[in-house]
Amino acid sequence: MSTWLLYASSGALLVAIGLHGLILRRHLIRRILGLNVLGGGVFAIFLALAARGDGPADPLPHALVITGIVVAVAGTALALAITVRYFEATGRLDIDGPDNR
Amino acid sequence: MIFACLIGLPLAVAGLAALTPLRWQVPLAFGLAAGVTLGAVAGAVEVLGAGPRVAPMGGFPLPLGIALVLDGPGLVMILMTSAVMAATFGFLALQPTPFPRAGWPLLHLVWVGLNTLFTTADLFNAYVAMEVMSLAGIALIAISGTAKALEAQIRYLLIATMGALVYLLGTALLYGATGRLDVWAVAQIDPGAPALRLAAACITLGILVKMAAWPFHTWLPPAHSGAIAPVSALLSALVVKAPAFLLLRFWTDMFAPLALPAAGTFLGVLGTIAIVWGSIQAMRQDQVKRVIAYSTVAQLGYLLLVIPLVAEGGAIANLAWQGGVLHAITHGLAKAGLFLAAGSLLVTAGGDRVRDLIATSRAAPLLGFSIGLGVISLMGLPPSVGFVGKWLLLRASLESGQWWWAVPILGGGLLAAAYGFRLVAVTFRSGTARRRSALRAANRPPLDGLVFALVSLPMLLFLAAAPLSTLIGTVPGYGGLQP
Repeated sequence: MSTWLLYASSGALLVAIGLHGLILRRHLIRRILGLNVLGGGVFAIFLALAARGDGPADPLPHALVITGIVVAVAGTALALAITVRYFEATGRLDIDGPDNR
Repeated sequence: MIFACLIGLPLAVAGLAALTPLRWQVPLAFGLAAGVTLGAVAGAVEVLGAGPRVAPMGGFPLPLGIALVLDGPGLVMILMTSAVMAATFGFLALQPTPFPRAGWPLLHLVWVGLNTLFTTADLFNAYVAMEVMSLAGIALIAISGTAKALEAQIRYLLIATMGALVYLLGTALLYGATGRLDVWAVAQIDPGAPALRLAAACITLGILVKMAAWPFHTWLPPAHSGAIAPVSALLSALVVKAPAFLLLRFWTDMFAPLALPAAGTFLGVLGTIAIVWGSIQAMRQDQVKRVIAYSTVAQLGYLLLVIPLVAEGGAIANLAWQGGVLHAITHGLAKAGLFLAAGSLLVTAGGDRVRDLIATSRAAPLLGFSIGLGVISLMGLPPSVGFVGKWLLLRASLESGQWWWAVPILGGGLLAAAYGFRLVAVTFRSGTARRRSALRAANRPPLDGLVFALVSLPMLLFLAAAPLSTLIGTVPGYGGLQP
């Protein structure tokens, strides 16, 4: 099994785990973690696509992934900040309560 | 120089606004609005004179540089954005409840993202712009401070970030296949390549989530109705519009070879369902702002309908493209005006239900009239430029032989009348004498003229429809530009 395939398939696995956590879990922290795992999977796939045969890898995807990580950190920080305020306002940590129609 | 005004200036002012005290914020914001508008007007003069061009950021040539385009459709969207932003700034400056200092830099960051999305031809740049715009926009929802708004906010954030990551996955796949990030790279590869199809599917899915297309629309009504009125105006008129505009550009340009018959028709069907479902939900809502928010779900459906029509190519594509852009700017102006008018009336009335609007037109006739004008624009009746947009879409539909799209194009206007005039009618109901005197005595901020000016813009643009369509140009997507 070539190295890039290993990276790409573990990236795909992470995407699946992340989506599972994001969509099927109810606890907000788990959902935010799911989002981060999903992001990690996408980044891994992006890096796997940088492979260029036996030669050195294409450097551009690494630069793009670093930008993507910065965006993900900002998003996670905002999500956690809102979660804290939501918890202080309602005492709940899930958003699928009975009265949110 | 023009891009320094369109993108650099809002970014710089956002940084400056974060460092300066509250009393500086209003002058800074209006200075920014003037600067961006001047830049966009200068750009429009250049495009009308010398034609559109590709402008790699910082002068680095493609494929290394980031491609921005200076073209008519992007500038028309930016000018519409400037009008909405200026009205929002005016509303915030005049409203009695103070807008927090932290909110101002966020408004400017939303603007950075919007202007980038309207001009970018680079897939990764578009990802970053979408995230800047979404994160700043989502943070603004918190200003209303209710638990409901927080819940809507976090739901929006989770869904929007998921959409962005799916979009990024598509970008990665496309980069893997072409080694480039600009929209012209796709032409290098065979349209039948599986990587291209998968990339197109991921990019489209990500943007559909971001633009709240049916069935991914459920996050929109609580988020847009939970924010304070000027933030709702911004989110509903612009923040979902920019990704929709980008999707339209992508599918009428780089993915055009994939569009017919299946993919374009599929997107058109999603648009049709959005028009019908959004309108029916809008009729059923009890809260005024939810009526207007569901109307956004419906109106964005029109931009998906444009895709199968543009895929026909030739003269029909030109008609559909112009119709789509005109519809997008009409909806932006009318929707922002409706949110501001409704927000202003509800402050007077002291409630957020449709029935709280009873008799408000007697206390504030100009605002009641503004809601009426906004609804006329949404319906696509003359003398709104929305009429021209719908007329062009209708002609494209009938002349292409895809006559079935005429049904949602016309039916959507009737549905807009049904939910829109419900709001107008209730403001003209007489109510009890006690209520009328209470409304007249209520202390109202002097916002009527501002809101009226915003909803009148589509009527003024009707008079300027010919130069406007010259500026938009007839070639869909990126106007046939080459790097």
